[in-house]
Amino acid sequence: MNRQAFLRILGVSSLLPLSWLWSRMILTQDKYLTASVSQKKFRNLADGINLFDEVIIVRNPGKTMVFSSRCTHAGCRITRSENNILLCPCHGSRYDATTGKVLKGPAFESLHPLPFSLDQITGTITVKI
Amino acid sequence: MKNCLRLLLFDTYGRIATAALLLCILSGIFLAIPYDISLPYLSVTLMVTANPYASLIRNMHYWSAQLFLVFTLIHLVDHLKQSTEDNIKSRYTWLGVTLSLLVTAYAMISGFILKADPDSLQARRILAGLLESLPVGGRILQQTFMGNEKNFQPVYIHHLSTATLLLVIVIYDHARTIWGSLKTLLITLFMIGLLSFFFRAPLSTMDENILKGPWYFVGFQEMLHFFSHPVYLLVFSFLVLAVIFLLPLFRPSIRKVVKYLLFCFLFVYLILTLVAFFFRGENWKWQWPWEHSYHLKTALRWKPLTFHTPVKPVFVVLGRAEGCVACHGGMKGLTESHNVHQTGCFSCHRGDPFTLDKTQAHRHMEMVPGNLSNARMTCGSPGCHPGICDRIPGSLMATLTGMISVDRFAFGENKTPDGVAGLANLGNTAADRHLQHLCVGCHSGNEKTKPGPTAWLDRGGGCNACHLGYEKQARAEFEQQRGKQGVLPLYHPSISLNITNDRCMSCHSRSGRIATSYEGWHETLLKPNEVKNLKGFKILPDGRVFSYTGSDIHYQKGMGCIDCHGSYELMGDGNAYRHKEQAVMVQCIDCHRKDTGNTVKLREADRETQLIYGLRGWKEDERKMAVTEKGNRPLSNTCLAGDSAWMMVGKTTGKTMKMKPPAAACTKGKAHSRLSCEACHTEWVPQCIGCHNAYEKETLGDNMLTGRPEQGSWVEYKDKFLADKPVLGIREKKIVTMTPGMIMSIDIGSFTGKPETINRRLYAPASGHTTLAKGRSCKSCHNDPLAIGYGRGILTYQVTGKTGRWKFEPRFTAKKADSLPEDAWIPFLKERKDISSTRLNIRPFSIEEQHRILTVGACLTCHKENAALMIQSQDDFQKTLQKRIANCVLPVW
Repeated sequence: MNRQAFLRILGVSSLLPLSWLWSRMILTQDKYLTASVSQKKFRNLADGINLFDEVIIVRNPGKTMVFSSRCTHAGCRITRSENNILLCPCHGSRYDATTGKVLKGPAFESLHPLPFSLDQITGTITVKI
Repeated sequence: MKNCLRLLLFDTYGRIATAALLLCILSGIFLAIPYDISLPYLSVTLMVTANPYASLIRNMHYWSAQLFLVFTLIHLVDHLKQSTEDNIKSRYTWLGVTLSLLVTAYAMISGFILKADPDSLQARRILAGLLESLPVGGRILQQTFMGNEKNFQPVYIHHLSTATLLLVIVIYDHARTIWGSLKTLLITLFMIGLLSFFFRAPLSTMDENILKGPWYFVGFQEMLHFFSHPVYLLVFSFLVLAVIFLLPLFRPSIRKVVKYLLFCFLFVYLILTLVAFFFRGENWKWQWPWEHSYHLKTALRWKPLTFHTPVKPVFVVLGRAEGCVACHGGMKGLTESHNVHQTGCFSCHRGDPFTLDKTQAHRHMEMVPGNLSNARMTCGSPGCHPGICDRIPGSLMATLTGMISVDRFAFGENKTPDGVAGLANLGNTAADRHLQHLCVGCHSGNEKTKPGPTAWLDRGGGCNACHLGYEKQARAEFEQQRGKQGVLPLYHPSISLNITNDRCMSCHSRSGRIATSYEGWHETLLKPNEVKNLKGFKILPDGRVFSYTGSDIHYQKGMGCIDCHGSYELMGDGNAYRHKEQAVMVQCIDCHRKDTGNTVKLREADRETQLIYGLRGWKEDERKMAVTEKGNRPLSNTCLAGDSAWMMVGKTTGKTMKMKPPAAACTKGKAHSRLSCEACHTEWVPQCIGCHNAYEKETLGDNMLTGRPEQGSWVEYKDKFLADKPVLGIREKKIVTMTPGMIMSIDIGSFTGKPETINRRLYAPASGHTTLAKGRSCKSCHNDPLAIGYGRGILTYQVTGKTGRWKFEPRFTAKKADSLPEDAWIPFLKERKDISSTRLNIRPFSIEEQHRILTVGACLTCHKENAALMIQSQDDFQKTLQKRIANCVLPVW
């Protein structure tokens, strides 16, 4: 083995611990971030569809649903609704606002419902994001 | 030819690309000075709007990057075509070249992301999502190259250092130089300079509805529209890279096929890019390029930079610098919520907010925002009122579903009057043409075409129909500046909740005529010159003459239309109703309560109610407001003062009014439990009979839908306009008020050419809006042929010996078609079996009901209305009947 070959092997093999370090750093950071799940409170919402940055809250008499505003297809934020249909502006997926189910693709997975609690007295909706 | 090409091409493609990259790096260094990573969007808008020098550098950065990308691709295709890949001996160098395609893509898209407009933010989300969905190491790649959503640091660092460094290394590694020739650099600089001077680098606003990636990625966006699993697309892209990397290892014959396939893919991608760029609109719907698209019009802005613009203060509105406010910042007349310094000009009027140049700023401007055709981009843009804007197109005042369905039914084109219809699908049938010539001028989608105060005859105008108000100063300024160019307006018409009755009048003085009836005016067939200077008459701007017949008690007390009818009724609540009585939520009992009933406190009410409450400047308190029984909507201007005293505040007048509970008589006994409030309290309703409709080929008419004159028009001939107490009928279980909605003949033959006439006798539910505190008398129902549905005439109870019989002499002669008097709903003491109303759930009185009504009527021929016996009979009429004396003669039928 000459010096050049030795250095090449050394260089390539050093990528392994570097990659390990890289991945551990990010995964540890992930754990740290997910440990601090943020809660958001929404008050006095109108009946029907309420679009927010991260969540969509659909209030119908007797039933409230909270969905992630992230389109399940490619991750765009859903910003519009029309006749009780949620529309993704990027690739045209359509979801039923009451159930979150896909009405028209390209998405095939329903919108992700988010856990929430509803204070019946004040009407405040607390969503875990 | 070749010589010409050689002249045009001043150097090799690779060297031009390298020169562009060098210029891109250089401009990037300068661009980093005004760019603020903590406020990326604001800093970019500031540069573009107010700093032409920074804007030029930004444009140069953008255009040099585009040139670099284009020439890199051409360079690659060119070399693959010439099969020069063998010239690169080292596999590592070839690997670097292959990977540099990926790095180029990252450098380009990260630059796109860093401008932080809505397109960028969505692109970032897609890219992050795509990376994360990779089966191996996805999360690590996503965190490394994209980072968390609100942190631009990783993208910024990799854009300006990692990607740039790698590209420079790769170029040096395979080309052995980075500098090229000075001539190439200068010519490239000249090209970039020209492009940068004339075309602005893209920057969208937060109000956009159409979201598109950068031009080189819209092809991917189009592909993603068809792919349910975006990760496959990413894997496919990696495969393409792998194929390019492995290319030198293939046999020449296979290599040729692979290259052919790669070129084919590139060609398909080019087509997809064109499709995505020109044929995709809002929510990625297909649209033709010539269809109205603000996005396409403004995609490539021809905008020579101006460096001599006088320095003006730049205002930040809604997180962006907005050039419009520099000139129009002094605009008065707008309410606080729509103040120029709150919402700017662009949110409503569009145009170009990122410039201080007048002509450029006003290009593609919406002079009349708020029309339903532009509402999604103006009043209903994502940052303003998107929710309301989504509701309005489905509301009855926009669709006219009921009107269209009933008219089609009358013409025999629909089987029932309860169909679903819309203005968009009006065709060329007799009914649809009839609607176009006579009816559909009144709908909220009717366009307001010019700025200026709304004339009485202007109908529709979308949001403007109700919310636009020209106050004295704005009106005076408008009149003064009419036709003058270049004068800076100082007074803006108000955009407010101050919606006076006259906004409703132009449309609602027709058909049911509720707006005019409410104020006490009844339409006549008189001509204006016949009533000139006569008291008790009113001539409307369209020449119709109204006579004073008596106004509604609510009007007398100072209430306006909007004191009862709230936002969910007028702008729709998201449900598709077929008829007005379904859409109207408020009922008499919601305000005239005996008990506290359903209530809500302001802080518990929905957001819209709270907003309206706040915008009216009312003080927040803990008092309860009434909630409608139907639809559960808070009535924001009501409140419970004390234990059971209900109060109302006039929305436009501010006047406080007491809402009285129903009188004892209203709820006494079982006899009248089916009566609706309006059945007793409606004083009069307009009743039109003997209407004739014919199509006249020679008449010049207006198509109300298109606004254009047409040869040949349906014409309506009126016979009699009467104002009388309403006819009564049954809706489901309630007794409601009715009016002869469509007693008419239609000369259908005049349209079809075949000798045929349609005769209709349809009654419609009447919302009189002529309520009085005092209800109608017993006799006005039980002894009145009009109330029961027989029409006007003399109804007498004739007793011969021990036999009593009702006799009816109609006032109007019988129509040939059905032998019924002109104004009748049903034959005397008979039933109708056909559909007799403009609703399926409404019917006239049955035989049995007529008998019951007239039996009481027979009693009333002797006993006075307020006699103790008659009042007592309301508890149990049968019991009272049993006690009758021998002189009492009951009717026989």
